[in-house]
Amino acid sequence: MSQTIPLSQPSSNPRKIPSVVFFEHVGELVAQYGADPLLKQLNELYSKYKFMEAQLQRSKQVLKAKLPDITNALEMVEYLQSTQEEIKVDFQLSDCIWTKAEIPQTPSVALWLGANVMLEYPHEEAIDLLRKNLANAESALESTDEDLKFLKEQITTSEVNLSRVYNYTVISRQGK
Amino acid sequence: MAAPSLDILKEDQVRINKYSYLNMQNHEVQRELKINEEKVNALQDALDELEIAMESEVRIMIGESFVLCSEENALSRLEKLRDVKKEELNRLRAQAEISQKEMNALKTYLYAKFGSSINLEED
Repeated sequence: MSQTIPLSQPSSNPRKIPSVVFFEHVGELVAQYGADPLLKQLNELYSKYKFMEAQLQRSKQVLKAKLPDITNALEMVEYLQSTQEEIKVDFQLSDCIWTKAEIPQTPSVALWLGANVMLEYPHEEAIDLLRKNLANAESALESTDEDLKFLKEQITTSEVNLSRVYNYTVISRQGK
Repeated sequence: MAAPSLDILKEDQVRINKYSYLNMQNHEVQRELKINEEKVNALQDALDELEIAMESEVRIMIGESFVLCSEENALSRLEKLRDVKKEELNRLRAQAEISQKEMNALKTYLYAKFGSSINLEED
């Protein structure tokens, strides 16, 4: 019959990730719950944290990849807004194929919103929208970073807990 | 009977966690630093080439396309970009130095307290 050892607790993390319980004296814990159940549950908790960390790292990469798209679009729209005459560009038609275009003075631009939807906006609105998207992406990145920092703490504490319990069992076995 | 090194104070755990976090952050800062340095060098090269070339009109990269514009425009845009990137570079370098100092201090303390029971090296 295994009992759930209280190894984690609710935390103040905004995404409700539980935090690891820290215990000062390993001996008491081992005496209360037994080394094997302790090690098993500590390992489970540790794997859960590692899994979450991998997930967050992946979503961080995705977010980071999105940022250049937004900044490139913003750069171009701001430039279009600043020029008073038509501009000549070389743009990428397809992979390895570039072509020239003359862009006359236009009051609006079309922004790709995803899901096969493109919307036309006057320059100002386009810039506002892009800036908002950029701010959202950056703040999502920030919260992911915050969570990763929190997770790192829990993972380090879990690793230390694991090694302390293990060392304790080794030493107490040697003592016998 | 628990060996003394198995009982850890909460504040020491906090120190270990801090070291671990600083280490992770330092890796990221180093990566960003490298990217940023390359960017600054590329911008500086572009500026140098621009001066040598002495064309009246050049193509400058905006977003993902190349826009034809006058040399002065290109020059001022590139200079602004380079200065912005240089500032970022300095900020990153300062951050790296601060975390490096903190990490060294933590390392000294933790090694002094735990000796060989703890390993803080990169593997």
